[in-house]
Amino acid sequence: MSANQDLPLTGASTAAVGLVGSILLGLGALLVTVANWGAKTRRKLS
Amino acid sequence: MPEAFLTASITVSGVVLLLVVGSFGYGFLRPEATHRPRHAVRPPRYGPVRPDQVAILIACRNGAATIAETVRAARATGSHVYLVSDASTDDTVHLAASAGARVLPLSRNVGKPAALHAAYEGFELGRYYRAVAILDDDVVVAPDFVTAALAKLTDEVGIVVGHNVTWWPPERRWNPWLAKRAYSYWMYQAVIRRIQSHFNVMNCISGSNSVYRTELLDIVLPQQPPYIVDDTYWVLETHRRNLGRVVYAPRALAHLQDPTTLPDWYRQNLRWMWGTFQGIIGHRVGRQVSRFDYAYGLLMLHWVLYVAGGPLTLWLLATAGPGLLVGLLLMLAGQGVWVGIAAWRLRHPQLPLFLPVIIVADLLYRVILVHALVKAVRQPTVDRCVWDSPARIAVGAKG
Repeated sequence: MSANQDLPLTGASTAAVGLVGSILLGLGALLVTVANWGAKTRRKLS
Repeated sequence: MPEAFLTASITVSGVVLLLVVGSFGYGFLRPEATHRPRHAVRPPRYGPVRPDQVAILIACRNGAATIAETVRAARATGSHVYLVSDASTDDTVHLAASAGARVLPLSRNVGKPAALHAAYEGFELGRYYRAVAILDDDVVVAPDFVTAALAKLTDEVGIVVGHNVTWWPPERRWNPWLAKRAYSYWMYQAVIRRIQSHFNVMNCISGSNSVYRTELLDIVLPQQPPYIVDDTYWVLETHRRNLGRVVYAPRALAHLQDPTTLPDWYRQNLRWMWGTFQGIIGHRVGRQVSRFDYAYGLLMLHWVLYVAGGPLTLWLLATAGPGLLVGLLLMLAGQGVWVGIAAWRLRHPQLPLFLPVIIVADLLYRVILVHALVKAVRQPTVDRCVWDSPARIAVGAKG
């Protein structure tokens, strides 16, 4: 047996992590999309 | 207040805008970098495993109180059962052999991972089997444990983690530490473990009841784990070496013996978390770009908020809002909802009565996290994993 299995999920911290995780994932997806857009623009120009 | 909100909004918007412009520029300047295959690192492909290709391996040191029942339950799965006795000085060897296990008695106490490796080599399990279920000496598995685990052992899976249920017998129904652990296991598995399994980001497995591919064991078992918890090392190696997915099998049921006193509960959690932090330090978690590191980063953020959140919540309740007493009652009610669901799911109607203990233990767990972190910083590796089990209760057949 190992690690953090006795760690309870308390409302506030779990919700905060979920929120931060979702925002970071969303931001990451946005940045990747924009980077692809930049690459596409470059290919169109060249 | 409106000024602060305005300043924060403008700052955040500015940062996001800068990032967006930067991303566009990155894609424009390095278009080839945006075209990397999405899943460049795929898990290996393993072959299917039949129930008769699974062995059960139990490591034991002085487990006479529980070993016979553990072996009997393991035999009931239909698999061959192997046991290594790590220089036991009690009747372990005789009891295990009588219950139907093939036993390898070691004359020198070498520690659990080295004992497992000795048995794995000695019985040539890697040669004769395709998967091995490694159990602790106080674990009682359900008769369909192996088949339920195999149902999850698909081509890309390296480790299947069983479902933990605290052994909470009627004669110990008022033990608060068993109540706490039963609740924690239920909640952890109902939420975190399922999510981690889905995204293949499981950071800790149940070393007491998991099934491993022999291809994986061939690689991890010969290594001497430098952490105090061996399975923490194995799961991190599995992720870092891309040895296969780590998944959870909710139907592979195993009853576990858990601590029954506060000192045992504290010591066990301290050891687990110490091993966890050793793993984070040793495997440089969070310093690589991967889904696993991202998820682990979020988990660590959760720990930080959790530790800081306890005193912060008490302070907020005392200084603002409806007052400390009403606030505490509200917290109690919130936690009570979860405990109520757990009581229903676990069929332990007495569980809600332990709500105050659960909340106090929850506060104490924050101390353990900090204690374990300090311990890991001071001692990031160990020479060998030592046996450190809480006192066992002699058992009859578990339901």
